Amino acid sequence: MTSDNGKEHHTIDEFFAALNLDDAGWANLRKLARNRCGFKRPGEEEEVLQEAITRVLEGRRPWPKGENLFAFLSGVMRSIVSERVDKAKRTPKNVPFDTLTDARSLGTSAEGEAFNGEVQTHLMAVFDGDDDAQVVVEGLFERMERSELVELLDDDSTRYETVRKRIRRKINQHTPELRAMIHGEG
Amino acid sequence: MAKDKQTGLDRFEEALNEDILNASDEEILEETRNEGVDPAAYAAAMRDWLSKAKPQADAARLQQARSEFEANRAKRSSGVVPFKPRASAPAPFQPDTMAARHGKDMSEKDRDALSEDWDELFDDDAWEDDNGEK
Repeated sequence: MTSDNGKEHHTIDEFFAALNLDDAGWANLRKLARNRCGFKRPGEEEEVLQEAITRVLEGRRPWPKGENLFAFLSGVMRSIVSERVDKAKRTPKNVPFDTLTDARSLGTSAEGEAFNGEVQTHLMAVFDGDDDAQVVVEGLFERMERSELVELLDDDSTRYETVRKRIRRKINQHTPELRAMIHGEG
Repeated sequence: MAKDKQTGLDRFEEALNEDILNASDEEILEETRNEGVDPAAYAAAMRDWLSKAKPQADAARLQQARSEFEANRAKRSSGVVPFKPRASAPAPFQPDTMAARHGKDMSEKDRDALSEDWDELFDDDAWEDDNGEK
C-alpha cells in the first residue's frame, strides 16, 4: 500500500496479523499507553490504546513499513493524548477541575510550565535519597542529551542505564501515588 | 512533535517511552505483575476486544468509502456545465480588400493610395526634361 506522499505502508490485514501478540506484547502496549497517558490523561490508558488500534484498522493512520509496531502505536497514542489535552483546553466549561489541570501539561505557557514544575517536584520527592535518579530526572526535564547525562554520572554509561531502569520501575510502582499527588485522586 | 517544542515533561515521557521499548519481555511481564495486573488476563481481554473491533472497523471503512464515492459522484454531476449558445453571435470577419468587396466600391485606404499615385504622376519636379535635367 502506497500513500499520496509515496511512503510504503502495511495493509490493514498485515497490521491485524501483527497484533497476534503474546502476553508480553500486550503488556508492552499497556505500559506504553500508561506512559503516554501518565500525568496528562490518567485513567484513560485502555481507551487510548484501543482508539490507536481502531484508527489504524479504520485506515485513518497507516502503519509505515519499516517502523516498529510498538513505536508506531506509541506515536499514535501520543497524538491521541495530545488531541484530548487540546480539546480539554478548548472546552474548559465542560470538564472537571482535575482535567483542567491535565490540560496545562502540554502547554508552553506559564501555566503549562507551572504544571511541569509541579510534576517534577513530585517526582523528585519520589526519588528522595537517590541522588543519581534525581540528577537524571532533573536533567531529562532540562532537556539534556544522553551524553550530557552520562557525563553527570562520571561518564559511566552502565550506571546511567541502571539509573534509567530504576526510574522506570519506581515510577511504575508509584504511579497511583504520583497521580494522587498531582491530580488529587484518591 | 518537534523537539524544541517539547516541555520538560514531554522529554521525560519520551525517555520513559524509549526505556519501555528497549525493555525485555521478562522485565515488562514482571513490572505488570508488580502492578497487580495479570498479563495473561489482560492479553485475553485485549484479544477479545480486538476480535470485535476488527469487523466494526471494516464496516466503518466500507461506510467511509461509500460516503466518499457518493460525494465524488455528486461533485462530478454538479461540475458539468450545459452548452449555451451566445445570444448574439459576432459578425463574421471580412477582410477589407478589393477581392473581398468583389470589385465594388473603394476603401479609404485604396482612395489614399490612388491619390498618392496621381500626385507623383503629375509632379513636374519628379521627371527629367529633354536635357536630362530635373
